Amino acid sequence: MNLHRLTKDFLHKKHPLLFVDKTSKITLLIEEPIDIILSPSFYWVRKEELPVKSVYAAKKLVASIFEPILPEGNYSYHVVKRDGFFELFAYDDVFIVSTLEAKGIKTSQINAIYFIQNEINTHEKSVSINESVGMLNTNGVWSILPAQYLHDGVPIETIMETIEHPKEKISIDIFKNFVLEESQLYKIIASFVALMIIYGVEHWSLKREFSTASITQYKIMDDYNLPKTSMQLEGLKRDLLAEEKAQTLLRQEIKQMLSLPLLEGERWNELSVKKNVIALSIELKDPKRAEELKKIIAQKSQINSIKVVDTIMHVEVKL
Amino acid sequence: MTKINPLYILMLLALTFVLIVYSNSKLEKQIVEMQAMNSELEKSGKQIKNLKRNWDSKEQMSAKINTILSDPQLTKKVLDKNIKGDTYKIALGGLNDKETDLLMDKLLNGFITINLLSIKAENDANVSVVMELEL
Repeated sequence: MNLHRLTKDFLHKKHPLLFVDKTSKITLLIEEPIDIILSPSFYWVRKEELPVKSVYAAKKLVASIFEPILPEGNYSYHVVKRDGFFELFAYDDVFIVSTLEAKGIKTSQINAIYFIQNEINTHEKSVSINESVGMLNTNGVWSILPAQYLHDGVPIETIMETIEHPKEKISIDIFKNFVLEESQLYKIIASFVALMIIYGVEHWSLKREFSTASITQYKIMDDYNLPKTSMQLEGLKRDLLAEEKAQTLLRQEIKQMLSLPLLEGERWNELSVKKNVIALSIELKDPKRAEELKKIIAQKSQINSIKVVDTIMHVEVKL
Repeated sequence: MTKINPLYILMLLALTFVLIVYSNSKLEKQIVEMQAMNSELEKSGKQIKNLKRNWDSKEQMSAKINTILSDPQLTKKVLDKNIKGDTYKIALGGLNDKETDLLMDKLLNGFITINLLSIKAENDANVSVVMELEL
């Protein structure tokens, strides 16, 4: 069992580094995110001199360069320019992800993936990975070879110690294995279109309903000749209600005054309504009656003043 | 064979679905709010229309006052009537008890805005009324 060592140095590296080969047997003892450096068993690499200058231009050529030599599959490509040469990489995202998962490394735990080709910093001729495989350096290109063909290889653990910060992060599409057949795709698109139609019709219907409600609102305002703002509307309503309340109160007071229980020989002489006040003059038979009438008036009204001159009682009531 | 990551389709589908559902629910909410507002507005409209008709219509008010004054029992007792701006000043004299009751009944039970009112009773057969009504 070859258990690779995780390099944990939080002062220099953000995440622990783990070297993985197809033959590696992994037992992860930590749950924090890790950076993975893959051995050449996970990718194809070619070192080429291309008639282009930029990595961007080289990326356009890389698929056609690898096409004749790769087995049929769905590959991603990566290009690095080093010492005047282009190093071209081809890799199968699905294969990398599924192999790592099979080794117990969850995709959620992977922070980033690197290729050893881009990270190794040694002029050694060979590196020993485990008892069965190793890596051979041929003109700067590292490839996998059975261990029996390699001698005096530097242990990979020693190499890993020299890697402080991995440089070339590789983009892995972890969803690349979720592929759909055209027929399935058409079914989903059909469902999507059906949903769009259903909700689109509902949306159209709601828009119409909203428009109708808006028109109704304008119609109501027009029909009742209402002001445009709710503040003006409330103000108008408040003023009209206050006027109605004041007039209702005025009538109640007048009716009360005119319906006072006068005795025979008693009569009211004058009633006048002014602003906030009702004044009443009553001719009494006996001035002592004033007290009785005062009590009756006070039951329902607020008396401002009351006086009796001879047999005339003058009452002023607040409205 | 054409292959597409289904996640993109599912994301697009989910995003569009969420957008439409959100938009529809927002619209539904707006419609409910607007319908409630319309119902409230109509209620206020009716109330304001009635209040205006009762208390705030110059033509209606003038017509109501003239109807009272044109009563055969009262019309001959009108001493003076004068419209000045938004006020209608009326003076009646020589009213008996019955006529006074009739006038008060019509005045107090009708929707007429009373600004000032003065009733003087010399005796049961000679009551004078001066009133200032708002048009």
